[in-house]
Amino acid sequence: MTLRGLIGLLGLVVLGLLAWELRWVLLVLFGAVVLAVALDVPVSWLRRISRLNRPQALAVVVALLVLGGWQLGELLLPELVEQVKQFTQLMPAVINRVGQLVGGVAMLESLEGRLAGFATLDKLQPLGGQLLGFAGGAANGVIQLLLMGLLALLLVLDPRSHQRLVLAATPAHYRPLAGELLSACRQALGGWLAGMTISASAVFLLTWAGLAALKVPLALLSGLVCGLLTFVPTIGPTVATLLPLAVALLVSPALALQVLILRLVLQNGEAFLLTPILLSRTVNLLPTVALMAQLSLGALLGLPGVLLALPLVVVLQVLSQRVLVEQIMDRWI
Amino acid sequence: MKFGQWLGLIAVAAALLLLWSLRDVLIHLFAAVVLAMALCTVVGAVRERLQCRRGLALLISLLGLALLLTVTVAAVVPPFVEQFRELIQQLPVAAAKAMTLLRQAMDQSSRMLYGQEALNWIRQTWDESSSTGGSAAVGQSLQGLLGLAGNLGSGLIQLLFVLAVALMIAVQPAAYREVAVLLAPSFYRRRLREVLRLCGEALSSWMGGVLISSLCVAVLAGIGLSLLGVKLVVANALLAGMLNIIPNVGPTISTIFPMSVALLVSPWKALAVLGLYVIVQNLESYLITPSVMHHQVQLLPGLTLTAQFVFTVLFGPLGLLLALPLAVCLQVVIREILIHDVLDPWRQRRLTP
Repeated sequence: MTLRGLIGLLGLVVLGLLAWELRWVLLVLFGAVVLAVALDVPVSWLRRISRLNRPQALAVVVALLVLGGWQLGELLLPELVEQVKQFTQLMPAVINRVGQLVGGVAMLESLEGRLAGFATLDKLQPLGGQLLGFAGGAANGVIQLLLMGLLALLLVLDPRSHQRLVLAATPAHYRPLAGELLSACRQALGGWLAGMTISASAVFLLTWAGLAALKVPLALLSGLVCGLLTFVPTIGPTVATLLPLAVALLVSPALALQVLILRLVLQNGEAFLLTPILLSRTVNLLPTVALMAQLSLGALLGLPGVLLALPLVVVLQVLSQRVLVEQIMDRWI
Repeated sequence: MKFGQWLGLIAVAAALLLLWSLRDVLIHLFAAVVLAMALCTVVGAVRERLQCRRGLALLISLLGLALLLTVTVAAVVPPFVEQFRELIQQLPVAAAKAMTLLRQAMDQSSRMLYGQEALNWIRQTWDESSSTGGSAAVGQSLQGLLGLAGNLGSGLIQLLFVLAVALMIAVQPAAYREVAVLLAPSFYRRRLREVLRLCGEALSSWMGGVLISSLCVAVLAGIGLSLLGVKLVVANALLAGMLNIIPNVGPTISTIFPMSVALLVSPWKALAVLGLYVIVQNLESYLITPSVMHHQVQLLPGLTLTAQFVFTVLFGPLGLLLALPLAVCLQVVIREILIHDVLDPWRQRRLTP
C-alpha cells in the first residue's frame, strides 16, 4: 500500500468519526433536504406548466403555502384556540377520571396516597429546574427548525449547484453512477412525500368528519394531530389516538370505545389500503423494515431520529439496493 | 491489500460497531423471528393437513391459536391467580420459618463448637441487623415498586413490538428471506438460502421438542405434588412447565415456590418436594428430551450453560430467555458456514499441491 492510499484511508476514518460527532447537525441537514424535496415537487410542477424561472416559481409556491396556511389559520384559529383552551381546562379532569378508573384497583390506592405525599414543596424545586430545561430545549428545537427551513429554501433555490458539489466530491469514474443515485434518491423521496401527504390529508379529513359525526369535543385539533402524525408510521397513529380517546373518555366510556374503533378502522385502512396503493409505483418498503428503522434510529438519535426515520430509510433503501447489492454483492462471483 | 479492500474492512468494522450499539433492538428482532418461526411451523402443518392457500392457513392457525389461548386463559388463569396470590402471601412466612430453622441449626452447631458466649454474640448481631434493616426496607420497596411499574410499561411495549414484527414476518416470510439473501455476495446466495432453511428447521424442531418436554414436566410435577399433598398444585405445576423453557436456571427457580409452601407444613415435606423435582428434572433431561429432540438439535449440557451465561451478559434478561434458540441457530450457522465452508476446505487445499 502506498503512502497516498494510507493518507486517504486515514482521512476517511477521521471523516467518519467527525460525522459521528456531528450527527445532530447531519440530522438537521437531512431534515432540510427532505423539506427541500417536499418544496421541489410543487416548484418543478409549476415550472413545467408555466414559463417561470426557479426563484419566481419558488416564491409563488412559498407565497401560496403561506397564504393557504393563513387562510386555514384564520378559518380555524378561533375555534382551535377555543378548543385548546377547553383542552387545557379538561386535562386535569381527564387525569382525575383516569385516576378514578385506575384507583378502583385496591392495591394502587395506597400507592396514590404515597405519591400525593411525595408532591410536597421540596420536590417542586427540581421540577422547576426541569421546566427551565424543557423551555431551553424547546427554544433550541425552534432554532433548529428555523435553520432547517432556511437551509431548505437555499437548497431549493439552486439544487443544481448543490448537486454538482456533491458529485465533485466523488472519484471521477463514479460520477455518472453518483449522479444517477442522487436522482434516484430524489425520485424515491419525492414519491414517498407526495404519497404520504395525500394519505395524511385523507386521514385528517376522515378523522375530523368521523369525530364530528360522533360529537366528540376538540374534533378539529384531534384530526389535525392525527393527520400530522401519519408521517411517522406505526408509532405516530398510536400516539395520535390517545388525544381523542382521552377527550372522549371524559364524555363517556362508550364514546371512547366508538372513537377507538373509528381510529382503528381509519388507521388500518390507511396503512394497508391507501398507502400501499399510493406508494406502489415509487417506494416498496417491507412493514418490518419501517418499524425496525424507527426503533434503531430512536435508540441512536432519540426523538428526531424517530421522526426522520422513514425518509432516511427510503434513501438508505435506494442506496443499499443500488450500491451494496448491484455494485458489490452481485458482481462478487 | 489494495485501497478498496481496506475501505471494505473499515466499513465492515463500522457496521459491526453499529450493530453492537443496537444489540437491544437486535435481540428483540431475534425474539420476533423465533415467534414467527413458531407461527410458520403451525401454518405449514395446517396447510399440509387442509391443502389450502397460505393466507387461509395463516388465518386458520391464528384463529386457532387465539381460541386455544382464550380457552387456556379462561380455564387456568383464575385459579392460578388465586393460588399465586396465596403463594406470594405465604412466601414471607415460609422465609421466616426457614430463617428460624437455619438459626436453630446455627445455634446448635455454634454451641457445640464454641460454647454459650459465641451464641449470645451471634444472637445480638443478628437482632441488630434485622431491626435496622426494617425501616430502610420500606423506602427501598416503594422505589422498587415504582421501578417495577415503569419496567412493566416498557416491557409491555416491547412485547407488543415483538408480536407485531413476528406477525408481519409470518405474513410474508419468503420476502424477508430474499432480502437477507440479497445482502450476501452472489457466489454465496444459494448456499446461504440453504443455511437459512436449515436454521429454520432446527428452530422449529427445537420448539416442538421443548413444548412436549414442558408439558411432560408440568404433568409430572402436578401428579407428584398432588400425591405429596402439597397445596397450590395447579400454580406450581404451571410454573414448573413454563420455567422449563429456560434450562438450568428455570427449574431451580421453579423448585423454590413448592418448597416454601411445603415448608409451612413441615421441613420433611420440603425435602420430599425437593426430591420430587430433582427426579422430574433428571427424567426430563435424560429420558424425555433425548427421545423427543432430533439428534442435530441437541446441545451438550456444558454448551447450554455457557450459552446462557454469555447471552445473559451480552443481552440481559431477554438474552437468558432466548439463549437456547440463539444457541441452536448459532450451532447450525457454525457447523454449516464456519466448519463446512471455511475450515474443511483448508485441509484439502493443503493436501492438493
